[in-house]
Amino acid sequence: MPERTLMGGNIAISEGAILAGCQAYFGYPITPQNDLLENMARRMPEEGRVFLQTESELAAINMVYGAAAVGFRAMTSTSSPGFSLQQEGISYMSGAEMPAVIVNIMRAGPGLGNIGGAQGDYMQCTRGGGHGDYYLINLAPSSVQEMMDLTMLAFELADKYRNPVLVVADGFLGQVVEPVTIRERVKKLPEKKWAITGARGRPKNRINSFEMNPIDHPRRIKLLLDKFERMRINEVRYEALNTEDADIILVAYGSAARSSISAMKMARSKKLRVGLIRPITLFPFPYQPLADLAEKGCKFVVAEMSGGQMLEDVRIAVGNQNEIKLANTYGGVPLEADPIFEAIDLLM
Amino acid sequence: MTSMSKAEMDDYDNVIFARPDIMVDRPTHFCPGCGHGIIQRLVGEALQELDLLERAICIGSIGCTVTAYEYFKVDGMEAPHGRAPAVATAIKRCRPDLVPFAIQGDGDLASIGAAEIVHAAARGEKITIIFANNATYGMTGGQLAPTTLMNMYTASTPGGRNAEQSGYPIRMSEMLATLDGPAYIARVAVNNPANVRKAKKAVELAFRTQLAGLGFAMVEILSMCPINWRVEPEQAPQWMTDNMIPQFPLGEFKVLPGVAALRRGDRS
Amino acid sequence: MLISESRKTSYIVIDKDKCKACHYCIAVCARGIIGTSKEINRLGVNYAEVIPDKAHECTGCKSCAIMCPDLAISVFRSRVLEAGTIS
Repeated sequence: MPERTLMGGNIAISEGAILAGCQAYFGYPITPQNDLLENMARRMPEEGRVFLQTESELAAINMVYGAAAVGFRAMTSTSSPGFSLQQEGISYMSGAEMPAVIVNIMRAGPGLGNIGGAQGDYMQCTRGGGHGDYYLINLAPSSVQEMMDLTMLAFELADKYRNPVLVVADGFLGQVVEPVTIRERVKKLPEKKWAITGARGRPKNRINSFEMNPIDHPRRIKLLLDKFERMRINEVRYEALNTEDADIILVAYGSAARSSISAMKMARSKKLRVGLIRPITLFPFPYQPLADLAEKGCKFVVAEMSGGQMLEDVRIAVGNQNEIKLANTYGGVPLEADPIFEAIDLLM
Repeated sequence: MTSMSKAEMDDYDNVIFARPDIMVDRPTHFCPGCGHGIIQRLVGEALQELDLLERAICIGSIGCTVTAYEYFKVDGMEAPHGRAPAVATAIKRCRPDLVPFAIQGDGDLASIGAAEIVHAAARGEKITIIFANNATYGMTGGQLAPTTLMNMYTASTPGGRNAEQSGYPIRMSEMLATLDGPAYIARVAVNNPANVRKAKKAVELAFRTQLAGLGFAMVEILSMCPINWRVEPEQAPQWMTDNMIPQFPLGEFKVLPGVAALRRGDRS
Repeated sequence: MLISESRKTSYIVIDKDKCKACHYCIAVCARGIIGTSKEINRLGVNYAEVIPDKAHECTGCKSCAIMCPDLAISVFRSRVLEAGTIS
């Protein structure tokens, strides 16, 4: 009988990472994910694994890079301002083809903003975020169970593609407490022949992103671009609720999806045919299911806690013919069901 | 005629100096008279003599050391500008059996990497840092560095460094030696054979400090950069004596008793 | 590699294509046995070379090799089997 318990969102990420075999965690305090760091501080030594509170998020991401280079499953967690600091390191890791898991518990920005939950890092997360041609798979949980499950998936996908994977949540989700089924521990970690573990009985390995040669570098980037294309083809994940007969499609992720479900139920109780597409991967984005629904003549409500960022991806999917309304909050204010329902009402 | 390694020449006459086997037989990318070439060789000699082919991890930094890992036969990786101490920290904490080391320039270590080196030292990370200090940003064309001397011409202080604009040079070895984490901190130079011999001993001791698990070890090595000092290579060693050594005195700034014992040859 | 007929115990070999003509070796040789070639190497510089008449004065101090930034110099001691003969 798998164990079931109550758990907070941030803790579920932490425990999920441990179940997935995370061998090293490096982090820096920043609200609203301090409880994740603190849980790791207590639990990683219990598990005989590496934990270190670093001098900055800059140092944390570079330590993740070093740990990944020696073949460890490594992770850091932060919030939006710290995530900005980590872009350099993430770019280097993607360029050097290093696996890692980075958790961004988003808060209001730009700048210092405030500590309320938000979804204002969407563009930064889904478009690489740092310099150069790269993308990260973005996994967006919407429940505490998904905080655990998608963190475990993140480690798998990171190793599968040799690329950092982002777990993107918001400050509210980090604090929500829900029942969780504790998953089974990952027993066997994949072999990593490319890791720098000491040149014992083999020629030396080298991990870098630097390539001065104008013939070799484009070749190298092409291999990366092909990798991102494989992600686009193979790793799209989303949930579709009540879309078969829907006239209006809500598009939302994270905490905004929870409110959207309430709004959808309110609408259905009034005989309005409303459905929901909930992206679970923000990259690769589920363009196709949205395009299919647009073809059927649906209208769309994008519900997000930002100035309108996922809105652009929905527009790309849907094209110019179908009406799209934005129901949003920003500045750390939670998005409740009522404004989403109002947008539905306006579309009818 | 190629320079043959000790192993290859043993068939012939007695080799008393040759390229260490652990170093790749290749020309260097450094300018004529660059101190990095000497510094790299000293590192190679230490790795060879301590038999670290299978355990050492070379972390290249940004600047003229960016391709450091191409010169040794050990595993290597690249670190972003200034971040080598953080990368090395993680490697050592994850795999304490490995021997991570980094070669950093003065911009990498003392400017953009100032936080990382201070905290790695403060935590007493058991890593080895070789700090090549030539008072300039060599790779990018000779701009101001944290260790640039007063009144020194650089590409970004064309009137010479002055205090009002750019403050004062930083003595990293003395500064880090005030922390409790370091086990061995020394400053040496490579501008003449006697200094090079002392530098070699310091580099070797810095590696042995890591092997003995005694704490953070850093050797600051004053290095020639004739191009950006705007002198002929032949004048560079004297330029260092006249200008750099008064500002950056040679010596040891932190030697824990355990390290002193290693140096004496105590087997502990 | 030039060795004089008289009793000789040390000599150096300079890899001319690694030499960048920084002249550190020339500056530190106490016996002045290293000079500059009139030829240029593939880097286009007048590389350092042992002056043939002075080669026998090498003491094997290794200062030249220690100062060379390019690992261009190797230093040897020869095995003398009989007086005046090098094997």
